Amino acid sequence: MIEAKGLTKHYGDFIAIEDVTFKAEKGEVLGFLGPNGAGKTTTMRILTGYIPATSGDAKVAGYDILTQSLEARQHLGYLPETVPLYTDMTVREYLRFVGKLHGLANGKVEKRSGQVIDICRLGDYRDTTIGKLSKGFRQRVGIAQAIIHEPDVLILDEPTIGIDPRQVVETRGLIKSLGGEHTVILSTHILPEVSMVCGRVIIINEGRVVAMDRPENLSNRLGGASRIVMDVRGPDREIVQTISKVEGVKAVHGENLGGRQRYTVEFRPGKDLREELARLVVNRGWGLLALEAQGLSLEEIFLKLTTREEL
Amino acid sequence: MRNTMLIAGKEFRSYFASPIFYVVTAVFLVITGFFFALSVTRPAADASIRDLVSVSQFILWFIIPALTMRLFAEEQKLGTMEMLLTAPVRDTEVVLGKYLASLGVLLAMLLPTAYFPALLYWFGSPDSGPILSGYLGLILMGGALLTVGLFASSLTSNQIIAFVVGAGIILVLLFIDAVGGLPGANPPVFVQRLVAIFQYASIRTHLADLSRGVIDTRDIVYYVVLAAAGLFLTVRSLETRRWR
Amino acid sequence: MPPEEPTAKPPAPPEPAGAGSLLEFARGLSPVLALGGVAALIVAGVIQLVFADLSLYAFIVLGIGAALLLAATAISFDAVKEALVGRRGRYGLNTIIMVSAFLGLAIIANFLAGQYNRRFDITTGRQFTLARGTVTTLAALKSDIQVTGFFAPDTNALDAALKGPAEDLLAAYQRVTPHIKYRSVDYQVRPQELARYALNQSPPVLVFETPERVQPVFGRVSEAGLPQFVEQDLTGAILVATGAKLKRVYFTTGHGERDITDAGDLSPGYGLIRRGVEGDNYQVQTLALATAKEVPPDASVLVIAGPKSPFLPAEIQVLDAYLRRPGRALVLVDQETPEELLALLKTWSIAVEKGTIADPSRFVNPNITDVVPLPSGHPVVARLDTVFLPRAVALLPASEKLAAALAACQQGSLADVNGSLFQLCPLLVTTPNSWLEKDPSQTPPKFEAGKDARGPFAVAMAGIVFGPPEGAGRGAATNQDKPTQIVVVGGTDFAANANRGLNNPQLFLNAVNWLAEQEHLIDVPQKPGGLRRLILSPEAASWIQWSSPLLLPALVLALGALNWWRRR
Ligand SMILES: Nc1ncnc2c1ncn2[C@@H]1O[C@H](COP(=O)(O)OP(=O)(O)OP(=O)(O)O)[C@@H](O)[C@H]1O
Ligand SMILES: [Mg+2]
Repeated sequence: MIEAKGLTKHYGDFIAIEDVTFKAEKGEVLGFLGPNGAGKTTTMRILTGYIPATSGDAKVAGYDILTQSLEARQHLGYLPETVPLYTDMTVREYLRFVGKLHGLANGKVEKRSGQVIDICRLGDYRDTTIGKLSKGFRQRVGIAQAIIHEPDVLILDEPTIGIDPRQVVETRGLIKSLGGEHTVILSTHILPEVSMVCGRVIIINEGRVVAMDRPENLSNRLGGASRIVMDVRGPDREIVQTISKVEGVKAVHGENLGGRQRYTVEFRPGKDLREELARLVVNRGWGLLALEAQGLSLEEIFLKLTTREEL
Repeated sequence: MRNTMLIAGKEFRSYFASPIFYVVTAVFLVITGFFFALSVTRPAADASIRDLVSVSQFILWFIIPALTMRLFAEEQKLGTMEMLLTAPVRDTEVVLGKYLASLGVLLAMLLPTAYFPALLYWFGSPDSGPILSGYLGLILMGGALLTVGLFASSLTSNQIIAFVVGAGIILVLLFIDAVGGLPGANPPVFVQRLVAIFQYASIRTHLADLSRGVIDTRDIVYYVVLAAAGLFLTVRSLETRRWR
Repeated sequence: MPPEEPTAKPPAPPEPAGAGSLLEFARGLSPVLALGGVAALIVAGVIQLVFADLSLYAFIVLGIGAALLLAATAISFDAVKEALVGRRGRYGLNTIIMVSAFLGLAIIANFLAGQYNRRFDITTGRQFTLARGTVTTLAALKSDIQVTGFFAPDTNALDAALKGPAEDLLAAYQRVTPHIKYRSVDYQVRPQELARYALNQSPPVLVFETPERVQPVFGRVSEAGLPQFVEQDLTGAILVATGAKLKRVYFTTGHGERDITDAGDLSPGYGLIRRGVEGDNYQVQTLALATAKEVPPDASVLVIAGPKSPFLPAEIQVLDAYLRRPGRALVLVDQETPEELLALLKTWSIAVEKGTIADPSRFVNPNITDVVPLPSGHPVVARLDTVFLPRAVALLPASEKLAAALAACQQGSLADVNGSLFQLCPLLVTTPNSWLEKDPSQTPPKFEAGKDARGPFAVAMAGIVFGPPEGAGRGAATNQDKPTQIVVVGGTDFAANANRGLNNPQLFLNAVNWLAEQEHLIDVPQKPGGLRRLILSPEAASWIQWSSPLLLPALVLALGALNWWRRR
């Protein structure tokens, strides 16, 4: 349903996102996770055709967002970061306008605007001028306008921001229920939200995708397993063999840093292998340059990921 | 077409919801009314709206950008541009819709001025020809200038800037014929021809005939082409967002 | 020319250390070059389009532009390649091409519209359409006429006001014929040009010039008080400049006729009528009958405008001889017209019945004797709406027999009376309610049966006579020759300066044109300038003054407030 390939966006010399590549299948709920300024909004704007990518392509519902923009947009529902509201209209007028803008027939618009008003619990405010609504209600109107035409692809930029906890729960439920029929991409800072709602998560930092997986996998990978990163000078193959034999080690990944190697050692949690590994290396006469343990919670992983560390 | 009318309708209604329309119209009517009264209460005045028309073109200089400045600038400021441009509507439909709305508002603004010729018919017997062609001229000219304002509004998210840019372009279009005074007497032939071109390009020269009761297809083509050019540039200006 | 020309150097791919800064400098310059190149291309296009005769320069400029662009491309090849081939480059180029193409189309559309324009004059009376006489005059032009407009619009407000309309008018002429060449000269800047013509009046002036002749045209003072350049004057100047001989109209003098030199606004003079006649491209002269042996042979029309003192028999003789020539005369008569002249008219078939016509059905307030007669279908009056004749006298056929001439007019035929052929057409007729008041002291006039005669009366008549008026003898009737033509109007005040409202002057001019056989000029209705004046009572004026700028805005603001309040 959504296909992004090598999306890159430059603002002058500043690189907002670089080489963002991912896919979202029909029915999937994909979460975008990343700190402020990571490039989530930029990516979404590119996907909706609001701004162009400097390079790279994106397809929505099979249509190229640049060359078949109109067709692509016909399958799109979008809640931008700043909720796009005409402050001089009432909620109902606004929803009707958006519905018609998305090609709903007159009768259908009436029905659907009634439905989304119920769904988003806007019933008491249906005839209120939008300019007089509180932040949370505006956000709800924003969600309502994104789903009124039942789009195939729904792109929500921080949909739950400013909404009270009870409504947040409902909104999440709503989004979750939309998955299955629709493809949803949402961005958020709220970590639990990701694990609650999303089938898959993309973590993005400083414009680059740093991780992409199912949330439970991420948790497993990041929280369930522990790892040690060590820099060693010595014969590569021997080192790997030696370390692999250590009791409890699951996997060893090596990479050459030029004159030394960096090894990421994954092992079953519960036992600290740092001492043993250090001794082993020193005894073999190799040079141990650095050694660090990594055992992290989701938050820590997020922080780690987003402070210039590769996973 | 449906989208165009949808946007036009929404835009038209929101004009009447905002105080800008009422203030601008009131200003327009005060100034035109003042000059109209001045022109017909002179002794042995002509029972015509010629003065009204020629004054209106200068008032439209700032009335038009005041009407159009919000059309796109406000969408950008509110963030609704993001919704409008990601909705399945063509840029042309958006531009045309907004243009039609502003044209409707211009007509609504001109409507009360019918009071002035009505006074003429009440107290005298004016020649209807120049009155009709005068209004035709104002509508054509206003319709063309609206697209200039629309274009200016599509360039920025700041209404003030949109206003200043629009008024600036219109000012140039109004007074470009003034370069005719620069070369002095007896300029070489090609300078004379250049001056003639600038004179042709001026908005004012095309209102002269219409305001006195002569309909020249040239003037109509000029205004219609100017309007088309303004709309075309506005569409392109919106479109650049998609690849810039 | 500065010797160091960085643009001319080809780019050096391997950058030697010394040349590096020079190349940097050139890179910085390349946008300027590119911009210059594009500008040159545009200028070349404009030159080519507008000044076809300068196309050599167009190609030179085109070459310069291309060279500049090439240089810019060579210097910063990478940037140009990126701009052309990259995504933004492609779309940008696409947009630039679309916009240029559209602008090109727009220019072409305007150009074509300028070439094949049509104009519709929707004013009543077609005020801004050239008169048919003008159009035929222009269409007949064979050689160029150079028109020079002397205006100083920067220093003289009057010049500034006159220049535009005069040039509009000339532009209208130029639309008809390619032979009118126009240029304008600021006589303050180049007084010597004006001095060349040694004009006796000060500018603004339009000078019409052919190799043989020079004819200046000055503004005419209009009713509004501002002088204006008038179509008739311009056309007349063209006729003069091309050497066309103008027909002459003679006004008799010496019997207290109306003064054709008196142009006073409210005076009884005929100065304004005379200008009208001149405006229709006649040369106007006076003729002192007492000293003239004959009416000059070049007279197209003789006008006898309200004489008061008696004519000598010799003068009557001159007039009669003129009419028998056959001649054409416009005679305006009233209460005071001397009997000798009336007798002459009577021999020429039209009798004048003195007294003042009163018409309670059609009169000009407040005077029941200022009647508004109804026009007949005759060409002289066919296109007149309203004429009013102050203190009109009645016109009748001179004899019972000539009544047949009246009938002949209706049938469009001629009546044979003693071998001469007659046609008598009433031009203007009063209503059956009118009567001829014989008692001038009666105010208001009252109809007294027996004393006053009942209408309707003809108050203007056109007579055509083939042959001598007394009859050429039985069987001599022929209409091969030209006839004597006489128009008699039973009123003299109507053509006075003071009464130039409505269609009064036009009646006079039409009669002259009909007599001079310039009927095409009759088709030019008088342009109703004075008819559209707004006359306001003080109450009306103050109502307009206050309501126009205040009432409507107040209403609109109230509407706005209401709307705001409702939404709240
Ligand atoms: N129009 C722009 N011009 C220049 N830089 C921009 C522009 N828009 C965004 N950026 C920059 O691009 C980067 C990514 O911005 P983006 O809005 O995508 O971040 P985000 O992930 O949505 O952040 P947040 O969580 O705060 O919403 C930021 O550093 C921002 O400063
Ligand atoms: Mg964001």
